[in-house]
Amino acid sequence: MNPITYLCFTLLSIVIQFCLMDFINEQIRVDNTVINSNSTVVKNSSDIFDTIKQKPHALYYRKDKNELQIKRSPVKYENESLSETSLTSSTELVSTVFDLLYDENVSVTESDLVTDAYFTSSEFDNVTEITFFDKKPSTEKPTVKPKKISTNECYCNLLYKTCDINCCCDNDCSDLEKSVLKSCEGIGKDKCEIHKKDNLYMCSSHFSCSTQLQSDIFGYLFCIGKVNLPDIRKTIKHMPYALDVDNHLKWHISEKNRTNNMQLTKNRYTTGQPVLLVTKDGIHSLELPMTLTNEYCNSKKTLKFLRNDNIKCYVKLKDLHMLDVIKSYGHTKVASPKESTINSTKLDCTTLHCVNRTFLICDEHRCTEYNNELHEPSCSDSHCNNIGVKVEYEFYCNASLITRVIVKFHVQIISMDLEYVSQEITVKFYMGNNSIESIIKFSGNPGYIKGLPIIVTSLESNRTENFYNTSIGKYNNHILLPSNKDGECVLTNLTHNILKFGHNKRIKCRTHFKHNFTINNGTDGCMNIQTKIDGLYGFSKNIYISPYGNPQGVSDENWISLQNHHKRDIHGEYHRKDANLICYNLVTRIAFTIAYTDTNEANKEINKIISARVDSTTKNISFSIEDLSIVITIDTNFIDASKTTVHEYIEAHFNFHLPKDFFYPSSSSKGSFVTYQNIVLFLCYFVLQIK
Amino acid sequence: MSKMTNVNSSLAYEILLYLNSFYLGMFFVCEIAMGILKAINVSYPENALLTEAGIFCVLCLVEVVRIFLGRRGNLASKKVPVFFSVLLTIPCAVGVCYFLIYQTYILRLEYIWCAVMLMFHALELTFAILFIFTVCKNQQFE
Repeated sequence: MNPITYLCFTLLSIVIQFCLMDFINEQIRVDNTVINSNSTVVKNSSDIFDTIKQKPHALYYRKDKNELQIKRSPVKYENESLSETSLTSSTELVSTVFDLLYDENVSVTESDLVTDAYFTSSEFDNVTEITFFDKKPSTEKPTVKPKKISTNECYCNLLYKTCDINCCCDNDCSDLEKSVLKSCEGIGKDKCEIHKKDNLYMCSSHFSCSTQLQSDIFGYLFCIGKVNLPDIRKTIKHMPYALDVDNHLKWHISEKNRTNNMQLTKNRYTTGQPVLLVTKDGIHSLELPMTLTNEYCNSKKTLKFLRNDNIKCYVKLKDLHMLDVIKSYGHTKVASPKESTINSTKLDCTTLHCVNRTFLICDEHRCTEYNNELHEPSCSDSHCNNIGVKVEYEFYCNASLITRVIVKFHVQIISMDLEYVSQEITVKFYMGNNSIESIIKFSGNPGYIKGLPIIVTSLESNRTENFYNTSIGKYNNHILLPSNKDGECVLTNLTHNILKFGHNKRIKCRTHFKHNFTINNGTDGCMNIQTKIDGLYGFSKNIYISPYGNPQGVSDENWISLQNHHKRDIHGEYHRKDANLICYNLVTRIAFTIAYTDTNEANKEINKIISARVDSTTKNISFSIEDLSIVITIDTNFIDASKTTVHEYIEAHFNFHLPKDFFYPSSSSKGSFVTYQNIVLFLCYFVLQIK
Repeated sequence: MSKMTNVNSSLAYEILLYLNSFYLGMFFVCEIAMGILKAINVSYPENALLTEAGIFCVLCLVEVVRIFLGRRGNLASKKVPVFFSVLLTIPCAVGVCYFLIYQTYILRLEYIWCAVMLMFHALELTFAILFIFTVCKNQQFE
């Protein structure tokens, strides 16, 4: 056989195969038409509560899957999930159930769980998509395209015009600041590092392309369509080759021994280095209490540079961290090594950059500078005053130098009967000199992150612009809710009881009204009471909610109006004889019901609020004038209106579609003429051969 | 008439076997290339790669024998080689099915070329059986 002929035929067969795949690809691309329906979403978002139903059970999804397979429309609509998903506002029902379960003086927080049902429309069970070539996806699953908001779409950039620590994609960080962040060295600018596992989705998913189908012919063909790896793979256990006890981690023998082992460095700070403290005795590392074997503060650890921390543990009153810190008040400084420090032989404030710690004493309402005479903790037989059970460290850095340290003690009165108290210590590092209170914080970038505040405004115009206007005040951008303190409703900025995204919560507390208004008319008295209650509910007449955690680029009409449909008909009767005030239709309970959807693309989670409303429940209440008090309830319900995630794979590997006129060539188009002619010729040849 | 029928059926069979011989060459080269690509990029369980390579070599050998017997029998109008060729079609099809369904990592491209190979098998099997029947029929009359 002639080798050249052989080679030619081989090449021909490869070309035929590739042409075949081109044809398949063309067929797939036809289904990718996207219709922009942003306007429809905006228009329909107000009606979302009327159409959304409770999440159905698994069987429903099975049915839905079948429908998806059979009735798949050739045209893909953006946000089609919104129109199909349905949900009824169940505030009343939920409230009723909560009523039965919970007493007043209790705040309940429930984490919102989202479950995704995974199934494939392919018949293969364990289909995975692994590609050998780094190409773009071809056939995407029907996802909703999020609105483009920011040019700097960095998921860990949550501080406006401030460098977020450990966020390598934050454009606010200078190169110098990035050089301090060790984690950025190997990752590159496009990635961010989030240590918290729950927030991993925030990181850039550039490397997750292996799960996507590939767009062009090479990407498509070189994807692994199926993996048949065995379930249990053999594990080879390496036998110990040497027993070196000294090279294994061990518990420290004593506190003293552990401290001496710590290495103090003269190098400039980088992430993870111990923060130095200059005292009379020399240089030590700044230490924090920690739990070791149980919930009690029974050990210590060093505070590390650019490592945010949160410690909660039980401690005896005399061993409180606050007392340790206050002991060193005035004669200790936080130090950071400078460029020149490395060449110097001695380590003190002449060679190091030293800053004093600013101590602040905070009560429920405000923070004031610590004064030793006024704020020193003191105890009587029954209780102790000025006990800071919560200590907040705020470190402000200029690249590797610590420029300001603020220590906030949240003080309260503690009973002497308590043997142990729960203390909380938080450590936060910030880049820059601006106080964190003056920095605008996003609640996600761009979509909301669970646990961060909902961004609101009451302005009728220029809402986004005003969000960035720091002069308006930090808390004007959030909904403040009262907290329950010993059963009483307390509404302060410092309690930080802000309406947070994804937190399903109930606050129930009693509020007292001082009898300082004269009651001439029952209705006026009731209206006064209602006005005071409204002040606690944390919302004014017109509130607009930002659909995204970063409102940049969101136009005024896209801010979600907080709808309050309840018409108030408050009236009252005042009986002077019994000193009794009866109020009708007093709003004693409100429920924020916020619907959101995950407009995710690839693995990123982009939570967008699509609708919000307030439901009110009224009651007829009879007050005694001597005791004007009422229990109010505030519920927050977050409803995930996203459609259950359906992972679709290309099912038709052999999705050959013969032209309609293949068997009946005369019925249609001109393009089939050549094929028809070929078939006729082939048949003629075949018949002639037979003869 | 019967003679002509015999000739025609063997012609189609011959065309198929002829094309299949080229296709087998391509299949062999591409599958080896793909195996190298997979061996470099993905990790295999112990011995899986060797097993697959072994099965593939056996498959190619059997396929060569099958095509050879088929062509010899067809050109010489002998039914016995064609009968063995038909018998060998079964292990060949099983081998191709293994690569289509059960091998450790199946690429989309492999779906295609294994399917084409199976198509060849199916068509050849049909024409081979037709050929055998025709030959038997002719012998009966002669």
